[in-house]
Amino acid sequence: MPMAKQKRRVVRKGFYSDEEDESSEEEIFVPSAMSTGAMGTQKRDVMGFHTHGNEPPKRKPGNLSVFDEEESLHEDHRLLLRSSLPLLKSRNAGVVLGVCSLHYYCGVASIQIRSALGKALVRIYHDRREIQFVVLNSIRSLVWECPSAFTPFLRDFFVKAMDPSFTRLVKLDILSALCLEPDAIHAVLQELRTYIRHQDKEFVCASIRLVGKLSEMARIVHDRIGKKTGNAVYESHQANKIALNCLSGLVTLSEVSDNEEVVGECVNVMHRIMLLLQSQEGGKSVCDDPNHIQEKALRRLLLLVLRSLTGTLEEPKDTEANTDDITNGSDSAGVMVLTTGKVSPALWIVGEWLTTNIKSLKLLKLETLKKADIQNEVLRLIAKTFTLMDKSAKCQAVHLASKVLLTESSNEDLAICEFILSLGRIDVTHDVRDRARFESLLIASSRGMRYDSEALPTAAHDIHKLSINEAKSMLLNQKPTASWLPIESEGQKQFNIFRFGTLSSMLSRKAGAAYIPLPSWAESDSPTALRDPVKHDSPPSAKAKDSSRKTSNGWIVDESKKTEFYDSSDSSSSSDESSSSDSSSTSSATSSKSSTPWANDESSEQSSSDTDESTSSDDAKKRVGRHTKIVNVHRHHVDAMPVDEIDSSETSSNDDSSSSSEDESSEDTASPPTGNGVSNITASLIDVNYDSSKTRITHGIQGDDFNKDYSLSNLTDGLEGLVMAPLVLDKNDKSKGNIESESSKWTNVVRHELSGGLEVSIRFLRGSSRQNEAKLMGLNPQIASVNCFQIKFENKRSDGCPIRRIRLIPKKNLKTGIVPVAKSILPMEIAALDKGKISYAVVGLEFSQASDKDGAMWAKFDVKSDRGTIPIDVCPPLAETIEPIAMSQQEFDIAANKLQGIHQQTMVSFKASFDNLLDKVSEVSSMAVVEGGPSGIFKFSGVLPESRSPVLLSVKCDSSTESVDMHVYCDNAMALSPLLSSFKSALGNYRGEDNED
Amino acid sequence: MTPRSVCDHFWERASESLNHHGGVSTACTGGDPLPLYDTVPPIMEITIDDENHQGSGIDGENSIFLFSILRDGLSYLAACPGEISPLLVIEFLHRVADIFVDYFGSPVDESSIKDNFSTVYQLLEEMVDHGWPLMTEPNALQAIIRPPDVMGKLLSAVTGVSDSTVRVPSGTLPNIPWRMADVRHNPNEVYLDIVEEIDAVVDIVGNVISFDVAGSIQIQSKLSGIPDLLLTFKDPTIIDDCSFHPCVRYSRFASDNIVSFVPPDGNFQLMRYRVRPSALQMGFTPPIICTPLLRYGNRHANIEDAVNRNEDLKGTIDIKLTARSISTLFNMESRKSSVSIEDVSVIIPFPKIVKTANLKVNMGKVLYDETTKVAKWTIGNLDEKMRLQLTGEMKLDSTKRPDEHPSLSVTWKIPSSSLSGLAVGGLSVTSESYRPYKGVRNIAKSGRFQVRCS
Repeated sequence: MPMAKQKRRVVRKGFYSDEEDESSEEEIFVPSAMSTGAMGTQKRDVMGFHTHGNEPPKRKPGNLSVFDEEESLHEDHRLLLRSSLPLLKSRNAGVVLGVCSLHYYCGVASIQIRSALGKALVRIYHDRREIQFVVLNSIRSLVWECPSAFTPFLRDFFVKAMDPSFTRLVKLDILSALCLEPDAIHAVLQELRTYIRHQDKEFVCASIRLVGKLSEMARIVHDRIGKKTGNAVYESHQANKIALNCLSGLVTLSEVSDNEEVVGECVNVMHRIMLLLQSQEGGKSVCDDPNHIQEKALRRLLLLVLRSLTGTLEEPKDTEANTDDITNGSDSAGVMVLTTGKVSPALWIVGEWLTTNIKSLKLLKLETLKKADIQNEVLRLIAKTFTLMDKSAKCQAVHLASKVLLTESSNEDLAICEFILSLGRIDVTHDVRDRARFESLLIASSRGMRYDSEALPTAAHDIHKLSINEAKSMLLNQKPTASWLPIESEGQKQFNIFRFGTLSSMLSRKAGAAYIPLPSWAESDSPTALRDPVKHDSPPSAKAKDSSRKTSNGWIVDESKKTEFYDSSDSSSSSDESSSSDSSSTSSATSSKSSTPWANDESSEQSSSDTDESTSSDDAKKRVGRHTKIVNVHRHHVDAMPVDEIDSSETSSNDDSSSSSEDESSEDTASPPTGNGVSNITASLIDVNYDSSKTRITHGIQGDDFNKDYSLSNLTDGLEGLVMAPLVLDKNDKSKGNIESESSKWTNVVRHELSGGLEVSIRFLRGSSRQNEAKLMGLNPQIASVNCFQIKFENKRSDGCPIRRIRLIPKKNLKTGIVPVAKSILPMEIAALDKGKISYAVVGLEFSQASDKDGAMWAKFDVKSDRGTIPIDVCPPLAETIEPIAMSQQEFDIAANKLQGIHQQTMVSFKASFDNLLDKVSEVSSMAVVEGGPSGIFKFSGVLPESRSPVLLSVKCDSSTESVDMHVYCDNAMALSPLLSSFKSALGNYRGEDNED
Repeated sequence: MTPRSVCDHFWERASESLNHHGGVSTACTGGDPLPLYDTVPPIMEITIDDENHQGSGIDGENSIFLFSILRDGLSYLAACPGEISPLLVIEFLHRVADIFVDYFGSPVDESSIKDNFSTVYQLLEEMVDHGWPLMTEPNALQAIIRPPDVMGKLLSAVTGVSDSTVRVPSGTLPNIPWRMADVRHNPNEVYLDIVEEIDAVVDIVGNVISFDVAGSIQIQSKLSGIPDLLLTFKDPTIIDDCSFHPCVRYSRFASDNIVSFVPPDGNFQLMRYRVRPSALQMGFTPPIICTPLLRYGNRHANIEDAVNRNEDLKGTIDIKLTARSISTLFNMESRKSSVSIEDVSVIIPFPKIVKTANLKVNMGKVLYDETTKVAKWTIGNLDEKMRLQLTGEMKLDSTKRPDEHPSLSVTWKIPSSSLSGLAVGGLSVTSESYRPYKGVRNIAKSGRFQVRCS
């Protein structure tokens, strides 16, 4: 049993290994095999094999609504059912059928679910013929239980000419189950008219049987409608009309067809229909038969009986009575005879006609005299061919004879009847003998036998003598109608012994030993602890796989309200972290591919070698280990020197470390530099060049000229994207160390008072954080028009409810004169944000071009949630988009001297506090600090994004007046004033007295 | 191990159940009629009489369950020892056949399997591993196994040198299982076909007895990188029920009726849908009127005579075919031109007792296959003005009147039309910077479109 379970799972997985929902797919079968018994609040009166004794104790009395029922399920069970429903849309029919099976046997029997299942099944049924076969068989098992799910699709089950034989018969079964409305019956009967001319005779016979079934169904359906509308007479009339039409069709068919099987089947069904019509006559209403169809049918039957009797007589065959396929050599004569098996129903009908006086069974144009002649002839033929007859025909012959004996007939007839009875009494077949003796005794004790009565048991004297009327009431009274309809629970058993959709159910027998029947519902739920995820002990790969799926949408949700961003000490966010690292590893892999087009030619060669390298995980781990160590060292020294902190915002922590690592290994020229070792080398090299007083000088990298650095950084950036594993941890480390410093301050874009409790803030990322995030999103950070901002969502609802479905929707910005967004990488929606939770995500924007105009790059978004839609504008200020360029004091002075024109510089002095001046500037701009100047003067440098013309800023603190003199140099006159104002507002935010020039 | 004798068993059973058309399907939609072991059930149980298995009296101990599918005249078999979900096996077999079509072109028949045997073997090695389905995505397979190309074969045949410069597949598996890694196309293009196949049964008078629209969206994607596509419909409510390629994000469609996906490279079927019944309330008027008339014996009296004289009967056939000017198909193009119907053909399966048929047509050509008793009338394009007719005489093999009436299969195709009116609202590419060329077209065509002769 466990083996089989495993097998099923593997097969599924194998099939779905290419599908999106692989893991959830796998989930489906595990519980369905294992924990179907875990909870039970369903109606499983489906097959009658799990119903009894398994009613769960917690079930409430009375009828539960579907909703209640679903709510009362165990939560795991509910989750399973809910999450499996979308798989109905899978293109793999096997999966769809699996889901249907799960919901049918373990789900809630609601109308919505059932109709969804029906729809899905009908959809997959419209597929290739082999799939059709399996699906149709499954539908057949279902259709009796829930016909309403399939009734809308009645016409889909009509037989087409191309249908292979193995689906035709199944379709007929389904059609018969769907005829629950007069319209449906009508439509199907219309179809059957075509089917009965099909070349496949087995199918034709099945269709004829269906005709009989339908005429009975029509009665039931119309009776039901009659009861509902109160117009019972009309409705039963309708039903009779259908039955008569069927009968008439069958009479015609029996006349036209030249196939014995078909005619035989016709006779059989005609017999049933006439019985049906009679039964009603005996009851309430008289059947109206204006066209005398029953009479025609009777004539036809009579003719057939006579013919087959004479046929048998003329060409006596080996009367192995049980073989149905004995055909009489009638083809040459062109006369249709019945197969031996079908004579008996015809005989019965003829017998009824001969002996009873039912109105509908009268041949109107026949005189009584003629009827006597016919009776005589029939009896004669029966007597003559009795020994050649089929067993069942013999029984009917005996029965007919005894019925005739009870009526007033000519002596000759009576004699023949007694002859037939005595023939029956000494027949070789037990059944015939029993019947003949029983009926003989009945006749003898009521009416008396004239001939050959000595063989009868003499005990008859002791028995109470029967009156003729009593005997008549036994033999000649109205018979109850036989029904075509399957007896409840028995007729379906053959289909439903096995779960539908299984191989065993297709074969109707156990296929191999692997079939596991559904276990019964468990008495109690299994402990939930079994389903809790295993804590940290699980192998890292499984965990990573799991969690990466969870957060692959790019959101990281902090559990507590004000935890530190990316704080590794927080246990909850540490799992997030690992997940984010994992997701980024996948995305970095993709970005590595997408970044190749941008990689320089020179780098491509190296990059390919690097990719190979990165595939070996050992290597990666080694690097990571070394790396983190170095980063820690670096952090330490950052703490020691406050000035460095600004520095680290432009260089990234691992720049230094990498340069140092490279330094360490610089002796060993054979070892290639690691991907991240080379990455972002630019800034640190510059530092080394121009800041000889700092500790980092010890790294000892020799000065290079600026251009070379720049190209190198290009190269290494191309590399970095290609390296998979190290990059991830690299990014993580950096984000811990730097994302706070390498970003602007938070700007509130949506206030929670106005948005129903959702507060949204954004901040722009810079430096290596920006680079990494951009790469992760597949954007090229080298392009100045690429902007990344971090977005923070916080639920500040007062009522404590979660906000659901928070998502960003980009909007077209229709304003002229702005730079539109070429591409935006948006995080996926947040399903729900609980009260007090904060969620962070990074949004990548690539504008169609960079711009030196303030506010030109302008993106519009809608923040949508279940609380409404709030439009937000994201407009990176010019100061933000300035790229940092490292310069020496001398270079700064030279550059500043060049920009002495009236439109090239501007100066303002205002009162400001000198505390944290560097921090304040870096809040609004990412300009690089020019180090090593005289105290009291701070210089910053950068380039404009579009024109790449330098932007210089110098702030001179005048401690005597407690004011600052701020100089902004820039070639672009348009950029000057917005830059100035943003710097001013950053520094002068304590609202000192402004005195502008 | 499954013994080879399974195949013999299969053929034994298959040949038992040939239909009277010599195993030829009347349902084939294009090309020559293909043999179709029409009545072979897809699931068979075969008992292996193996000496090794003797002695165990347990039921089903040494029986093998044989799944078979039939595609383009080839039977694909899978043998299973016991209980399994049959649909999964059948789906897998179809997937194998689909992959073969991808690799060797359509139709995959005996010769193309023989020609590419080594590739077939490689494919099977990758797709099934020790009985478990393994890798079934065409894009992933193409990263491992190189499709055979005609030029290479030609070259090696002519020069006798095996081509050493063939592009060896990278062998690296993509991270998205259905999409090849590192795809580059110079013109980035994506073509969308909305194909609606109409299955219908039409009676002799022209009334539609039942019809069903099975829609599908086929995409040919030649996009570089990893594009993320968003497909929106003008009226998504038309779609009642649908199934998706695994690349589609289910939840996105469930919430917004937007199909969001990262497409595989090359041709694939994005989704299949069924049209909401309310969208089809106008019903369906077939674009072709086909009135067949089959008669056996010229007059009733003649039949009696013939029967009396014990002569073989004769019969006539007369099929009229015209295009209907008004149909319920939406014309998806704005310009009002007369609808032209393409690829029209009629397949006439004659009853068993027809000995020969002498057929004449006033347009197109007709082929009658004596052995299979199937005639195919190929017409090509059809417009409203044409009045097509097929007349002919049949010689019957019997003195009796046949009581069966064949059903004609009519195939047709109407470009830029649709029955449901489903139209694409927009297709946008995100996460890639280029702007691809996008093409959308609607096609309505016949699925199993049959005309009854009775």
